[in-house]
Amino acid sequence: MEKDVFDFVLTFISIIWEAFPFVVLGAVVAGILEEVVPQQALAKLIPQNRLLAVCVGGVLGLVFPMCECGIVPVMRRLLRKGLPLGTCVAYMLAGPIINLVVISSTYVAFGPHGIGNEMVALRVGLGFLVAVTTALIVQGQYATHGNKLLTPLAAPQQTKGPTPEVIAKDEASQVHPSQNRAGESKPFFQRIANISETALHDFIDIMVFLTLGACMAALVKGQFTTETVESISKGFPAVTILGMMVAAIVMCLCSEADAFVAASFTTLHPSAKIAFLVLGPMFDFKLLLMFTRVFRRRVIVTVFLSVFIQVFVYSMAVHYLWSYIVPTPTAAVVVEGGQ
Amino acid sequence: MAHSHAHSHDEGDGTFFQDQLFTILLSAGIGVVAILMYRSNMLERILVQGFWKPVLAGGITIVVLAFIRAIALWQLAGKASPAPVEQAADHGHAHSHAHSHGKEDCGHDHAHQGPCEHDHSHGAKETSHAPHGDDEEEGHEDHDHGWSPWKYIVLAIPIVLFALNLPKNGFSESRLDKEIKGGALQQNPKRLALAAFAGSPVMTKALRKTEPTLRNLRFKELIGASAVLRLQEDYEGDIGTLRGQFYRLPGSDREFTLFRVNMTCCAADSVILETRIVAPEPVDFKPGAWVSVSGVISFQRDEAKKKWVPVLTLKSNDDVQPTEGTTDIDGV
Repeated sequence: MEKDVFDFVLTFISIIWEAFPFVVLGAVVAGILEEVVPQQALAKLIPQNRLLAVCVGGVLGLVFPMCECGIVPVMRRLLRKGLPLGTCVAYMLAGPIINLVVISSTYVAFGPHGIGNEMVALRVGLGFLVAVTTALIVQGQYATHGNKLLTPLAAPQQTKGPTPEVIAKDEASQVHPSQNRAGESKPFFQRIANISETALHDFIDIMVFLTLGACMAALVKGQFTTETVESISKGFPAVTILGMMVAAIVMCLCSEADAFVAASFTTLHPSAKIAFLVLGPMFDFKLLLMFTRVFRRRVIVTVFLSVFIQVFVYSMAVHYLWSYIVPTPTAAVVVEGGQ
Repeated sequence: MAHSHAHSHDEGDGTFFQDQLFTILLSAGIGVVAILMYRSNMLERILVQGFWKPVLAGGITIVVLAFIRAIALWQLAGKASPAPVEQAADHGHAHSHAHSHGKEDCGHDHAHQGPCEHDHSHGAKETSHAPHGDDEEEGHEDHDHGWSPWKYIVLAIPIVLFALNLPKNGFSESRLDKEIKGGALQQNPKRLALAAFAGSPVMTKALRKTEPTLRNLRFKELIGASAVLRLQEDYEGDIGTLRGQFYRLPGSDREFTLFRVNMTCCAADSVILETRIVAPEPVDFKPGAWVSVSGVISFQRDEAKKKWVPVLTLKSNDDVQPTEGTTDIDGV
């Protein structure tokens, strides 16, 4: 029992400290965004076409690479700055996959198995597809429910239809205050103080739920070994894929590291590894709790169902089409076949 | 001066300052722990080297932010004057306005042109603000300043664990027992026939090449080779030297597992890499002891796991020697 507690603490604390620098980075970026970027300035850069806007969100990680822990506070601030919800959701889901660091690590992990290019292409392609589709669904919900889908902390700052009183107060500037706040001149210390307040607030807010998520992950992971996943999934592709999807949710791995873990499941078909690699950065225990700081339950359920179902369906497709994707039998498949 | 607000207004001044004080203390505490973990090499136990400096940088950043916030809060507290609480749903900001909202949080914007003393409406309710100055209201936007002690208890956990010198180094035997299950191995029949035909020079069924290459092996290299049949043929029959940790397999005193914990980023993503060792005589070391082993490389089938396992077959027990431990991940 005592040994199990030590193992739990080791896993639990390692998840927290691994994510810590990225949470700090995310919080600082969020603080700067809040203080410096004028309201709606970012929104003006996004295409008006809804699909195009979501697609831009899907590849935003190439320009602003963030891991899944750091991306949540940044995304929340982007939402407040008026970036469309669909774009933010696409960025949040695809960003941890479609960035150069993760693409490189995936290639390095699977390169020795002779399927580096295929795994990178599938991970990026399916990650983009799942993220964009989910974002479009959420965007559709937003059209119906509006800001009720978001927590107050994430709801965009009001820029339209200020009350008559507000307009009266701002006659002099002719601009709504929320639009000029970030651009207005302030003492340097005031700006730094504001950034520090926002950053610390976001840091605490996210760290709390990261800690709870890490605790949950460590508890479950203690009962769960790589052998368990492999043994329950032998011979049944659907069970294998579902097993790896559950593993992704439970293990809460960083998207930079998960490819190496997936590659270590040498007996599994690549389709199950793809399920693990696409789902993990989009949804796991710690992210579930962190999402509650941004979204209401309806969005969280939608995101979960959309991501989960899509990843399963696409992975099954990969399973049956694998021989067309990689015509030459690869090491991974040959060994799985027991030759 | 203009500013925007979107926070819950259900706490008093005291609660606001209490909340901010705990935010600063806990943030700084976590930052200091990050710095101390770096200085005390405790990070070695949980993260690969590439993460140590980012953790240190994160710790320093958080401490600096907490320091700045502490100064700002100190100034704010100095400026704050007792404000009349005009409604039941009082809320606490240094600029002390007191009004009520129909909703939990309205995310609205207020406009203030200089020091003001005004009323404005929210949700059809008249509210009144106490006077406040230009420079004190900045930066309270969209924050839920509600006093939630449970948050700080949760955040104190990493600090408390550090104070208790936890986590310990490496996984326990209990975890190793779960991960390492030495099933019976079955040699490739073709290799077995070849070994018999060649009259293997070692006292085992492993086939040694007539002119074997001496290889300084790494676990990843060997595991990688076991997954690719072509590579198996390249390695098989050569003499390999491998350094790792000893783990006795149940039911046998001549076979043991040599393992290394391969951490990609953190302990949570650790994978145990194993190589089976077959010795001619009984071998006994403490579980987890570091040993260096030299033997003939072969690959055998673990039918229970349905995968190939790398095996080093020793010529004599002198081929296994105690050695220095290492946390060098590159050597895995």
